[in-house]
Amino acid sequence: MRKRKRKLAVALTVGIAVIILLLAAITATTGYREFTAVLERQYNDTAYEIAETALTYLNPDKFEEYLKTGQTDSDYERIQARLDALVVSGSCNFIYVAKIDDSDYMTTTYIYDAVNPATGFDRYELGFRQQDMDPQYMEELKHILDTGGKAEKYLYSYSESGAHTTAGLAVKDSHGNIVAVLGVEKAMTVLENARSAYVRHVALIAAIVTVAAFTVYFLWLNHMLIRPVAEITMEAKRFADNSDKPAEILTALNNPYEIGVLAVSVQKMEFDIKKYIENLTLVTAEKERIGAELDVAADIQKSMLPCIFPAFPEREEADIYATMKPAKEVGGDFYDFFMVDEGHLAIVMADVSGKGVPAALFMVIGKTLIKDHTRPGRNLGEVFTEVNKLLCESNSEGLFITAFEGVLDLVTGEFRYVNAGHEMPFIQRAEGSFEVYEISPGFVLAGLEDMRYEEGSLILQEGDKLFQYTDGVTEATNHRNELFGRERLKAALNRGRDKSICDILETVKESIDAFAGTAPQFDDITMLCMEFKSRMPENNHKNGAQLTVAATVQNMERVADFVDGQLEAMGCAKEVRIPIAIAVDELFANIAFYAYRTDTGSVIIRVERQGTPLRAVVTFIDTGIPYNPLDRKDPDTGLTVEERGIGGLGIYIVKKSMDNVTYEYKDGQNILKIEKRIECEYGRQETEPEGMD
Amino acid sequence: MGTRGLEIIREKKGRRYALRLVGRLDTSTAPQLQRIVEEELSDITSLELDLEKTDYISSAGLRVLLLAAKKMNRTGDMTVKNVKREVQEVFTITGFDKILKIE
Repeated sequence: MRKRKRKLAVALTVGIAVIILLLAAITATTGYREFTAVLERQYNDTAYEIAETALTYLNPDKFEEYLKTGQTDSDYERIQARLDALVVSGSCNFIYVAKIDDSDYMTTTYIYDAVNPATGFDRYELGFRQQDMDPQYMEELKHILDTGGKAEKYLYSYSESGAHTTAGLAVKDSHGNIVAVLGVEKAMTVLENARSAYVRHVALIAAIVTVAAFTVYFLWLNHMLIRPVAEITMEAKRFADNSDKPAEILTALNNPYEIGVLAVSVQKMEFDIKKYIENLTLVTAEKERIGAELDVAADIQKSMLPCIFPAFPEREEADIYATMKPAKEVGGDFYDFFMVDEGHLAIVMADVSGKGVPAALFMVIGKTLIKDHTRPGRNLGEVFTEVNKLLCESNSEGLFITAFEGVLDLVTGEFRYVNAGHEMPFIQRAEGSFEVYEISPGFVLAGLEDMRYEEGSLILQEGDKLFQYTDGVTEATNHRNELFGRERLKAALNRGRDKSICDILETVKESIDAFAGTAPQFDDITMLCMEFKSRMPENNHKNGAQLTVAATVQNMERVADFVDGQLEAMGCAKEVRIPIAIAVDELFANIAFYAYRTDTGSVIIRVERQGTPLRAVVTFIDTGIPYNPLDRKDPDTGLTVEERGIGGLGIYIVKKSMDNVTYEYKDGQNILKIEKRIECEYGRQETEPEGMD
Repeated sequence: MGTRGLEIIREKKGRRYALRLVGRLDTSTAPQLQRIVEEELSDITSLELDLEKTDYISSAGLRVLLLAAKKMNRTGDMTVKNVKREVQEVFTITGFDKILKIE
């Protein structure tokens, strides 16, 4: 339940009313008291003046005799009459003279007693004795009798006979002895009336002033404090509940006090909050957009890694499996594998330094460059040398890549590799255990522009496995900040060594997970395992074979030998082999010299035996600049020695010596095909009539 | 095809120079002959090329032969002998049979 809010207006009103009333009460009480005291003194003084007057009438020397005899005389009667007159003229209740028994100060024996007839009391006769002295007068009486002076305090009381004051004086005889006390009791009738009138007036005035002051003050308070506070409160509440457009009402308050400052501040705060919220909304939207784009980027990056397994279901020679468990942030690990050509499988494992978008972008560049430059027959050292050079050109952020690339010749089992600062692979030989294959690490890619990389090679036998990974594996940490390390990796690999490559990676992964526990993963964990299952038959093509070599003149002999070897194996006669050898020389030389200009590329040379009539078909495929040699104008063969140039002779020889020459440009490839009918050494084909073509 | 590359057997008698080309005269081997043609023919009046053991000649080889022929045209003469069928075919196709003196 919400606590009920109290209203400031009510609290202030009640508070002010209480204070004003309290002030009025205090003022009235004080006034009342002062008023009473003054009047009482006035009355008392009057009573004493009457007492002094009465004292002069008395003949104290006769008191003893009067009391002793109980007889009055004319002198006594005269004094009594004067006192009776004085009690009336002085508006007193009583004037009496009495002897006080100084043993108890209580017993009084009256000598004179003048009573104002208005009181309705009877006079006490001479010698009347009674113990009627008010006990509160005792001390005063004692004081009067002892010192002969007046009472120190005003004596007055409020009895049933009304408020009165009493003056007391000692009566001395001619010898100065105190013989009696003279008392004058004067009613304070005026005081009574004046006092009630005073109370009435004060009450009325206080009420009027209170109401008026309260009203004025409340109106002022309401205008200056209560209403503005209420408005500020309401506005603040409205804004808090529903922070839409700030209202202008607060600046309209125009309050000269602190409230005005508060109002302006609240108003400004509302505008600021509004602006801030709008800003925040924009920033948040932008952040979300960037986040969404980063997710898309991460997906694109992820989709750049081949992730369909088995990778090459149609290939029996090798199997490959790879996983990447990315860390929270986009990272720069990557692996790759692809067929360089029919008979070569390439694997790449790399790690870009750093994390986040820069690393991811650099990874994309690195991966693309490596794959692009890995061409059939190309030296991997050259590939990395060139990739490194290109990466250095586009590396403004000082990033670098550790990378390992290997190409497995599925025919021979030769595994050529190049290492740029990357981890060393593990190799499992057939039935043996996984062991680190020590290779020189080389320098990282994108580090130094003129770095040269060397290719190394090893031979894999059927059944051998190769495992490659990134440092996310060995540098996985547990809660005690220990690293997973190469030894644990080796142990995990060997636990799973008899399993399929997929399960081997799974075993390693489980081992890392068990080791790391709930410790956070800082780096991508990337692994790849390749198994060389069986050799590819050398002559994989039905009735044919192919060779992929770099397009350099140095490979001329290799190509010539390959083609001739294949033709010989097909049982082609010398008459066929020599023209083809010449044609191969011409065409390969052309490609080597011109197809890739200054760049190096590769050429695929395919030798096949086809159809009826049986023909030897040699195909050259290169990815150099598009060029159709058949467009070339035939040379004039009728010129003299001096007139002859040498251009175009080669292709002319090919055209003339082959049965069919075709060219096409397709998918970025120059495909040149030469065909020559096979005249078998065994002579069978020779008997076939020519007209069968 | 037996012999790889090209072997050139030289026989010099005064201003007569006899070269026996053994193997194939193609892109890879033509530079060998070209060097001889460029460097050793200055005082020769008669050049004899024996192609008996030459398996084939490609256009790169023809280029060197043409170079030699042009050179010898000015200082003397050049003869080609013992041309095999495969080589003869190339000469025929290219018209070299008409510009070379073939015995």
